Amino acid sequence: MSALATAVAGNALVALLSIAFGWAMLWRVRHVLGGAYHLLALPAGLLVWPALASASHLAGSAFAAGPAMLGALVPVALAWATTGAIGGRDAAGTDAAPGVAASASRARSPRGFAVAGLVATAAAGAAAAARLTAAGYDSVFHYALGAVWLADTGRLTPAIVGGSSTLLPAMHAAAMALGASWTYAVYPLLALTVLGLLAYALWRWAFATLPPRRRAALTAIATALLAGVPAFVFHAFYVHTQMVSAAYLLASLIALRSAEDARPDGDRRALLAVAGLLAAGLVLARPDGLAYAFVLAVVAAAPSVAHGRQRDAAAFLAPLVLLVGFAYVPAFATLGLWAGDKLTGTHAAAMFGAWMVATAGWLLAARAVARRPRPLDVRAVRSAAYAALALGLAVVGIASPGWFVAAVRNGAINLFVTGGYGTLWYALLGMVGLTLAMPAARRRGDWSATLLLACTTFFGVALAVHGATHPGRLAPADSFNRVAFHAVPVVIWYVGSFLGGALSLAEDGALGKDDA
Amino acid sequence: MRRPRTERSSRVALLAAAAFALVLLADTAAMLGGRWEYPRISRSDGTLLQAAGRAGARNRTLNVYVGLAVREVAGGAPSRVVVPRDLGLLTSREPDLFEGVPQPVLAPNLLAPLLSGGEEARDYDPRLSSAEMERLLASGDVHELPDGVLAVVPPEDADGQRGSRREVALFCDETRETIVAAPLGSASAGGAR
Repeated sequence: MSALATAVAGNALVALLSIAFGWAMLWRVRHVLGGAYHLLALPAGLLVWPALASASHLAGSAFAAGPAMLGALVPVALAWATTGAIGGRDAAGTDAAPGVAASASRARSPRGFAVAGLVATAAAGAAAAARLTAAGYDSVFHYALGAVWLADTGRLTPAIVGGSSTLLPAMHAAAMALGASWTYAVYPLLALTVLGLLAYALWRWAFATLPPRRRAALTAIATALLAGVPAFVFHAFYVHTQMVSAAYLLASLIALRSAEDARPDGDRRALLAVAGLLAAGLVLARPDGLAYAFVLAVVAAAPSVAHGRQRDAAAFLAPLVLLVGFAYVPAFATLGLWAGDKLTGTHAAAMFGAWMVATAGWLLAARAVARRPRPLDVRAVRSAAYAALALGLAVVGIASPGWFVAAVRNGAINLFVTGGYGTLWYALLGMVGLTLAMPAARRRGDWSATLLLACTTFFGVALAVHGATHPGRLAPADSFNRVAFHAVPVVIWYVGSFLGGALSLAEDGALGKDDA
Repeated sequence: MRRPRTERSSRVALLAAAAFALVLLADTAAMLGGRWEYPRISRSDGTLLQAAGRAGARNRTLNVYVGLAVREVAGGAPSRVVVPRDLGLLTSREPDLFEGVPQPVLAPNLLAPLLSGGEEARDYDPRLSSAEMERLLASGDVHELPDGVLAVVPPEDADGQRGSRREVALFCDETRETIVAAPLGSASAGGAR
């Protein structure tokens, strides 16, 4: 086989193997995930590779060699344990909403798997054969070189754990083990996953109350608009974290939204476990991922605290903590508090400390509410989250005022002028501004308050991270500028939710049912 | 008053959404018309070598080429790579400046990932005379990488011995314009054996 054919085959195989692992990981919740089961398989399955890196490091072997191969079972076992044990049984989705039950039935049928498998194979083959890619400094010097080292030695280093985080180098190492010295196909496949997940969210929730034709048309238009955004097209092929993190953020939010519909409690907790698993992907994709995962924790915590559901906290946190722990504990054990110019061991330890405090606060708050005669209004909990975010930003602003102001300024100029986004952020922020000016329509939009909280928290965290660590530069390659891309699909989901609410309100108004 | 207000709100929302869509479509159209503000998307040949060349960091990319040359000689991960303790002896290239500070052209931390931890720094002069270079290049198959980097791949042993092939050393020509990776012991510049 020629070197090129080997590279194409290796690229296709790493994607297909990831999907297969993802199917295995989500097997116990396939009944409640519905059509999302197949869409979530790729992001879930990619979590196998950093687990293999940790196993190789612990075993002292080359990547995935010998007994280290068993590391692949760790995320599968964790997923089974957390979705099954916390769910109480195989999440059966017996009380799921009718649409979910029907699509779940189709998804788990042999025909559903056959169709999904064919689509996955065709997509992976096409992406691998097309060989389209874009590479920058980080693509080569962080991810590819880290992958070569990992493939040869199986050893985690400060550069891998702190400089690039383990997911991308491990994924690239897996592709190298399969014959591909340059990994490119997973990125467009993740882009397709993001488009599929956005369409799923819009169809299933944002536009669910609209007549079928309008629902289909708006879903298709919004998804197509995202697909045509130049930044989306670029990041679909760029070997970096942007499309990876965008996929995990959207995927975890979809699991969280699914959890809100789920009955009985076991199904809800199983979906929270899926959200926690996918949140681990957000953590492991970037060295600052530990900070961005707070966004998902806030979204998961709000209803949990409001209703006093402590087990919900455990459901979300268990897979997240265990998977991230499996990635970081071997590094701490052998590297100690590693040095570096991005995530040092000390920074990582501090972030873990912050997570412990946040977790304790979540559990205590849920416990306190559980003892009350009535649950809290979730709006009050969201307000508390906004207040905490504002306080956090104030602390960063006071601690490093120069960098904070510079980060805000550079971030804004990049988004609107120098960052290569064209008019995208003008359009998105214009629509967000409209949603704030039309509260009735916004409130009517499905999950709109939570999506707004997620978007606001995301940018707040991004500002805090960059205000505290590096204010950036005016260029498309600036860190904050690239990180902003992660939230684009979620912002579009929010805008779609608002639009669905406005149209639904108008329909009710026309029918005399509105209460505005 | 309720119904007209909700209908008005709905119309405003729809109009705004249509404007939003048109704005995004304008950007898409500009992209399709040739405006592109990002690095180029291109077809990969499946190799790290090509990707490194497109990463746009000339001096640092030299480290990748040297590392890949070592791996070509070794047929994969090398077991041992003898390098000059002063890597600057291998090249005459001017260093880049970062905030006014010269950055080494060849750096251990940039070479190390491709050398798989097998590097062994020695005090030796890696320069080969013209005659020595000629002999070295004649001793195997010469694979040419970009930026004046060569890999001298030994012919296959009759019994397929790989042990010696996986031990590699770095040399350069007298002008330090060409860096050569070759099996250890195939040349004797300054005692690198």
